[in-house]
Amino acid sequence: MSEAINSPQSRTDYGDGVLGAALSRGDLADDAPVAPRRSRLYRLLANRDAAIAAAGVLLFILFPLTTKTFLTEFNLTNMVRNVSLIGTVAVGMTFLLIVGEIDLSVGSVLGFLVILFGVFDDRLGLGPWLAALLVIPIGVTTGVLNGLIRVLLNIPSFIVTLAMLTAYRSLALIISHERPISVAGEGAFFWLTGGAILGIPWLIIWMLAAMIVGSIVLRSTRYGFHAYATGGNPEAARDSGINIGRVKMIAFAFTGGLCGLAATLLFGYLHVAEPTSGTGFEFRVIGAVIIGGTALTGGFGTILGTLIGTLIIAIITSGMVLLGYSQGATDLSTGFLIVAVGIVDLLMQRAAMPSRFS
Amino acid sequence: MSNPHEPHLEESEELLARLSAEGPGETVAAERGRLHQLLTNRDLAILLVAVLLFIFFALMGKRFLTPFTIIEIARRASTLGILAVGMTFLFVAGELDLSIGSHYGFLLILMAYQNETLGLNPAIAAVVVIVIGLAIGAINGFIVTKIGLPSFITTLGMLAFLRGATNMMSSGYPIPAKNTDLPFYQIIRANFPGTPVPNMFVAMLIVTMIGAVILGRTKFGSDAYATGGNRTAARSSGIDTARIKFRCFVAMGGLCGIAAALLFGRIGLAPLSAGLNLELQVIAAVIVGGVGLFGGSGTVFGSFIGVLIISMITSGLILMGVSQYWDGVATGAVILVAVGLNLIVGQGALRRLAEA
Amino acid sequence: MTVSPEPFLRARGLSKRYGHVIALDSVDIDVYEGEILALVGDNGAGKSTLIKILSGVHQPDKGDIVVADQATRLGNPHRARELGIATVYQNLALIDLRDVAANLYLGREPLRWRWFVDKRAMAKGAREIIAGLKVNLPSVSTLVGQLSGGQRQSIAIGRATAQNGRVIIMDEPTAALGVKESRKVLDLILHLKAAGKGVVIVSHNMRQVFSIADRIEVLRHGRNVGVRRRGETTPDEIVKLIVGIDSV
Repeated sequence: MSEAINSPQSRTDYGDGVLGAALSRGDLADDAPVAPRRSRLYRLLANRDAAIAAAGVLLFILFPLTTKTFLTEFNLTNMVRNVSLIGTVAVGMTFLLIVGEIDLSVGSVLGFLVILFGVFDDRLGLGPWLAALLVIPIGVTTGVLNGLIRVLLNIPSFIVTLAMLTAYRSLALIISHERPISVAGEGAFFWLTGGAILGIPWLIIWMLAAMIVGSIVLRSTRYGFHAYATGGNPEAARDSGINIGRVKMIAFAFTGGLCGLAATLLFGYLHVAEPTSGTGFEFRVIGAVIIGGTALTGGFGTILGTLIGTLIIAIITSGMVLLGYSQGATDLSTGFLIVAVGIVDLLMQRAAMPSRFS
Repeated sequence: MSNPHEPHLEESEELLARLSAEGPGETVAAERGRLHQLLTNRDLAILLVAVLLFIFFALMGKRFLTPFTIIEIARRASTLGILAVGMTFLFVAGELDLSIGSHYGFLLILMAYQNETLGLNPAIAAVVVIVIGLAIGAINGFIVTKIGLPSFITTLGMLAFLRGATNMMSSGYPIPAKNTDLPFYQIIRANFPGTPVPNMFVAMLIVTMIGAVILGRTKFGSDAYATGGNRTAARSSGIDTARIKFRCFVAMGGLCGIAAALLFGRIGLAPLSAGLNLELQVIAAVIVGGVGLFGGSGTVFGSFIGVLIISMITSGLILMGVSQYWDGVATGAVILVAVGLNLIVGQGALRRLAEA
Repeated sequence: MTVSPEPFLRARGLSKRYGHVIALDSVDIDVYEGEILALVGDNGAGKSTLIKILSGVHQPDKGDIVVADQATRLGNPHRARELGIATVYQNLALIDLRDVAANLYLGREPLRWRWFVDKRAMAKGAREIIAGLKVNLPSVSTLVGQLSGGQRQSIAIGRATAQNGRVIIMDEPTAALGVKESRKVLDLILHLKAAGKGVVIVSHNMRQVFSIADRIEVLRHGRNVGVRRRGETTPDEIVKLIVGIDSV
């Protein structure tokens, strides 16, 4: 939800208004030099990234000290799985938060799509390649559906995706008759998703590929520029001729497609589709993106930040499990982090750019 | 000179000017006169929908009209109804609480825990749970009003947090109550003397009526409408919008506690997946009941009808032989349709005006 | 610099309604290059709707628009800009979290290889625009939200003039400025006129209007109620037209 407030407040005499003294006579000498405010913001942001990275390193050191099993191969591969799925979908969620939207249904969509995958591969006997070819576009379609309802009916995205969350969870249970679908899991497909090459799990490679693509799009393409504008100031973007409806739709569709990819990877790795897959997934994805520095208010965020956030969420998740906490502890800490990081970011933004908050 | 078929241009200009100054989707509470009329009409329309729905299910499901089904609906509606009152206040004030499902589940577990592990009298446990509910509501309210984090993210985080907490406390199996002969359980499970109406339902009716009176007739209520309708105008009229919102969050928490205590009394244990997706059903009920998403409109009575409608849909679908999981899809669809209609009919038009 | 004989922008019969509300009812307007036109009227008179139509943001339900002797439809802001109509809004329409260059080229980023933004060309162009405006900025990669009020205003104006606008529309340019700054702003508008641009300013401030406008167009209830040359009218007459008091 974008809440960008458009009124520029100034603390100098010039106040609001379109035309300023600066233009014709070089009167900007009257203005205070830009330097102090600039370094304040940059320092804060740089500090934040450094702080998050430091926290990540700290956790990575701390957990092995308190649990004997943190650095085992088993745990690390588990973490790898957590990271890749969260990270892949988090790329799309980053896009969505940047344009000022959100998708609460990614977990249920993941569960729904992985069940569909199982049905296509096993029950209908289409084989995994064809299943992937079907599931990913279906994922895109779920995203498009979200986007359409959001843009055409103007219903806030969290309501739309909240409703979709229950719907897709229900569908997953109905289609699967509440039973998991499992397959043998041999062949090229399962190697390409769940296996490894040169010691690196394919899951990580897929995630990094998604992140690289996402990063390039955000930083260097016209769409990326328009996405930041749409989230930063929707009216300004619209008045400049940017089609903000289309920008948002693309973000939703992209996220849906990434859910499809994640479902494919999940099935490739586990060889099993469970109707309850993805419960709580959305919190971890949103948490990863927020921890990584993407603002909830839109217009700001990077994929690199999301990568760091994903790593932190994954470390915390597996660390908790190893320390003997049940699955619930993950949800608890993720929820706490979402709120805590949200608050910290809000306060920091307010300190650095008071003009944005009246 | 002006066309008699068009509304008097002066008023529409005034509205235009006010809208373009204030932004889309906001109505000023001072317009209550006309707004009030609109609301009353909408309530009647929703009542009509409820009646039609009832007739539909009665015809479609052979067992719909049995006392068993009606009691079922009443039970479902009791919990939803209590929570819906709180959600109505929040919506009217321009906020929301996504965490009520896990909040409710958490308090339910607390009831069981106090009862089983601590051996407390359930009546005392109920009081404790309500107090804790109020406290959690206060935390939500503090973060939203004092710190300024948007309510949907605050309550989303709280949802995850409380779900985790519930999970950690429940150790995987439902905890049964100890001694169900105590008056606490007996009163809750009984019917209102002389009628077939369950006491739980009566309790919900009482809460609803209190809520309706507060929202509709007290200064707090009209301040809440003003806060949701146009926050800046409300603040310049001297209304402390932060305090209003805070109290709504606290009230919501307390109502979660009441609902949890009542349910525990009724069924005597804390089920594993209690409260899952409950927030969605409550939001659906409130929206169907005509309470706008953006604040400043809607009534407790409307939400009450909405609760009945949602409860009927759920029970009705099950009776029609539809798998219980379709109710998730149905609820989702109902929300989208209801919100869509609300926006297209009501505030959508205002929004387009504001673009002028 | 004399006013050109033919209007650069001519609109006839513009009408627009929103639901029951009629925002514009058959409005005509002419904009000449080298002339300052003031658009005045009370709240709700339709000024905002009119300039949004002229800048391509909204579409009229009825009416014709002729730009440079070509009948045209200003289907979107791009089109309006291409035809030489630049608009500066009251709220500046800047993206605070993006840098100066991104704001200057908002919506018209230079491209390379079809989808990729040519950041180097953008930075170079941004530096030129800033230099031309004689604005003091350390770097075009500064975030706009960190700039002072005057600098932000200059970015907004730079964006409009950099689009080679032949007509510049300004919405309430001095609305919240003090006396000294307003004076500078009005000087700038005269500067633009001297450079041969057509300027349309929407304003509530009679004194400023009479200080610089060549012609004054009055709207009321979405209709033209009068257009006067500045030398041939008085503030009183204009106010009467705005408010709708017929002669007494």
